[in-house]
Amino acid sequence: MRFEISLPSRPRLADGILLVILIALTAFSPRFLPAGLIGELVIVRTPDSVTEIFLDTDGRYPVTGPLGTALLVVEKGRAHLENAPCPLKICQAMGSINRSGQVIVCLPNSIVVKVSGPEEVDAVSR
Amino acid sequence: MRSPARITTLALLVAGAFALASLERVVPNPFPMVRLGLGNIMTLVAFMTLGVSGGAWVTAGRVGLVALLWGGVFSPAAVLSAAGGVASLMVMVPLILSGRFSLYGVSIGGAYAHILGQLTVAVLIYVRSPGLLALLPVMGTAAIATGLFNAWIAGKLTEVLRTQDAKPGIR
Repeated sequence: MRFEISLPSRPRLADGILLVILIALTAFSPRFLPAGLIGELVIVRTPDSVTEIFLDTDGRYPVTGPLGTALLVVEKGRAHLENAPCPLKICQAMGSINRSGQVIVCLPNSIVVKVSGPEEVDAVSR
Repeated sequence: MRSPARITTLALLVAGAFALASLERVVPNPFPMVRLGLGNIMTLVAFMTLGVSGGAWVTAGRVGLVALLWGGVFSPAAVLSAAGGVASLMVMVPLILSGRFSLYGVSIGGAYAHILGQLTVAVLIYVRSPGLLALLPVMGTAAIATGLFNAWIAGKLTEVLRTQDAKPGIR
């Protein structure tokens, strides 16, 4: 199957319109997302376990995935990962989180850290 | 038309796309969330020289080769790369067929669709939380910038190809 196409290499009006739309989408995308309340705890999922860690007490917790052990650091009500064994360290670059719904993900090491807010705690059975 | 020249050009562009995508993986990147998407340059050149199906083949070939050679056909990285490839084609092909856009619109549309496709699949399959969409401002800005850059390079490259004596598979 072959289409005759016309694809100029110089920008046209439609390109400019698309560019403006995409810039607007990028700039306003944070508004579409619910900001989330300050979370109370993080849920740490690894292939073997699901652990809850409260954000109100500082601490350093080892989190182990298939690649090795990273360190989940909780300080001042926020959580972030350190010493990640994964190659790209995207999980560390995702920074520290404290609002419900925010996540830190390490795909290579199969770790997901998610902040759970006050409104979600009712769903957790203890 | 399955002329030898067309098939040869296609093979070269797939190889080029694979090489560029591999280069991007090997070279240390201080911003791991941001990819240049250099492989898409070859897809754009294929659109210009071989038509819509050529570009689709180059993207499919690149995604397949990268998955085979860089760790696992069904690894998260390969699934996300395939999601990005499919999404970018789903946007780029209609943009081309509409006849209103230049290389630049197609390139930034494709780059943006790539990250949206990846984020969507990442949220649906791997993370199951929309919190990942918080990455959109960073990734979207990068997609627009790299999309413009790639279109510029692809335009230059196509110019060179078209002025060569042996015009490979040019319509």
